[in-house]
Amino acid sequence: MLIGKNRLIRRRVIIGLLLAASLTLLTLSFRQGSQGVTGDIQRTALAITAPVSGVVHRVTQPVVDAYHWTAGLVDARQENERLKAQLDRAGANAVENEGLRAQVAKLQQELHYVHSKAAASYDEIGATVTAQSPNDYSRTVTLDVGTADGVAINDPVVAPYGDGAGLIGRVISATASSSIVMLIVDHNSAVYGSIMPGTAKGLLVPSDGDPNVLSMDFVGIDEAVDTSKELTVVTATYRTNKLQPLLPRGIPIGRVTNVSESDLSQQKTIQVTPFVDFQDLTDVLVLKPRTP
Amino acid sequence: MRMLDALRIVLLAFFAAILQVSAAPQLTPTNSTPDLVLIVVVALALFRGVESAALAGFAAGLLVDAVTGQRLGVSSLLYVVAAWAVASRVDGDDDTLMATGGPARMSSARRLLYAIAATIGVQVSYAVLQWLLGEGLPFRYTIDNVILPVTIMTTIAAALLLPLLRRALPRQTGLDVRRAAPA
Repeated sequence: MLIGKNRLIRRRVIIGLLLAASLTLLTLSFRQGSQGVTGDIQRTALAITAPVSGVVHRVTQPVVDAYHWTAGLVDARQENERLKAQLDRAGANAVENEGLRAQVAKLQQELHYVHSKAAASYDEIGATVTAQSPNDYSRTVTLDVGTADGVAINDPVVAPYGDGAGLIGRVISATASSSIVMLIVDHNSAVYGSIMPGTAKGLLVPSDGDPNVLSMDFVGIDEAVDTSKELTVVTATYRTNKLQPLLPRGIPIGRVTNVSESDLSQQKTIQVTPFVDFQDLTDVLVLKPRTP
Repeated sequence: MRMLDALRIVLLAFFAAILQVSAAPQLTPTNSTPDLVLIVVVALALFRGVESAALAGFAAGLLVDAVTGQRLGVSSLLYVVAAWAVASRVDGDDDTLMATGGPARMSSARRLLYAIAATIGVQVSYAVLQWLLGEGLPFRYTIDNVILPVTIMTTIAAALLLPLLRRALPRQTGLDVRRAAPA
């Protein structure tokens, strides 16, 4: 008998304890959210892993850049000749330059946004995404800035697109050096928004069919939505003073891509596509509304 | 020697969790990523036994959930069950294990099959658990955008990583097990 009975008992005890611990954590997590014991565990784990995640992110960035560069090559078939010539000169420097150029472009977009009128009422905290939820059940990103940098719970977070910046989510948890952002495409996210130009307002939640697009709910059938124009959706505030909105108004969210009506429903069905590509989140800005 | 082995396992699990949430999401065309932690858990279940695999799976799962702000305990639970399921299949029942003294040798293809089966099991269980918690995604979307891509990417990653992990975790013989066991 090479393995003793004690060892078999120990195996069963270890598995049993681990299963019990997992179920206890799950129950506590469900009941307490990000407060209490589970919140403490989460913040401790974040504090421990944040520096390592940052280092790993920096170390793997060239690989990521190389991957994006290669993926770009596959996609851009019409630029084949130019890329071939570029490939001849390519090597480690080309990959690095490509990565740096993309980063500079993003930072320029951020800078452009910072200097724009839209950002005049905010202070910005630049941040890098160091971790991302590994599946669609929960859409979160982890940033390398925390309360020590001025980040607070419910701060809006934007990412650059074109000449502006679009809302990606809000801070739901923060430690001194890192913070977790719930993306607007997370199924627990709901953002109050209004359609510009126009007066229609509604609640933006991830669409049931495709969580990568948003569905604007509670827009009455009588609300005028002029689909002949380019319609932008921005964050809005409530009409009552009793409930304070989590996000300040006027932050761009996305564009209206479909409006439909049904005779059976008293509401319009409005599909909104976010401005930001959530697959390519690297540099973001945490917005701090300026106090007068 | 035993301390060194434990340290190796801790580092493997830790960096698998960190890579899964920091680098992997940027390297995949979809929102889902290969389950690197599960590959390490399966490797540990194959080469080290259920205790190491379950402990590493629990800790790494907790880390992944905590860092990404998900409900704590979901990943840990699934990784512990996966470790137990793979180790049970590999070792046989307790009587077989006591008779043979350790995990049986097997081909690379069979190891990969265990990784694929574990991935499908974990992904389906994850989807069911999320649905039971009221946080599930549409059925068709879950199949097309979560379970299938994760299974394919994890299979590819497992095919590449399992041989490396086998080298990093040399198989313990029955003699090693007896020596390591307390008198």
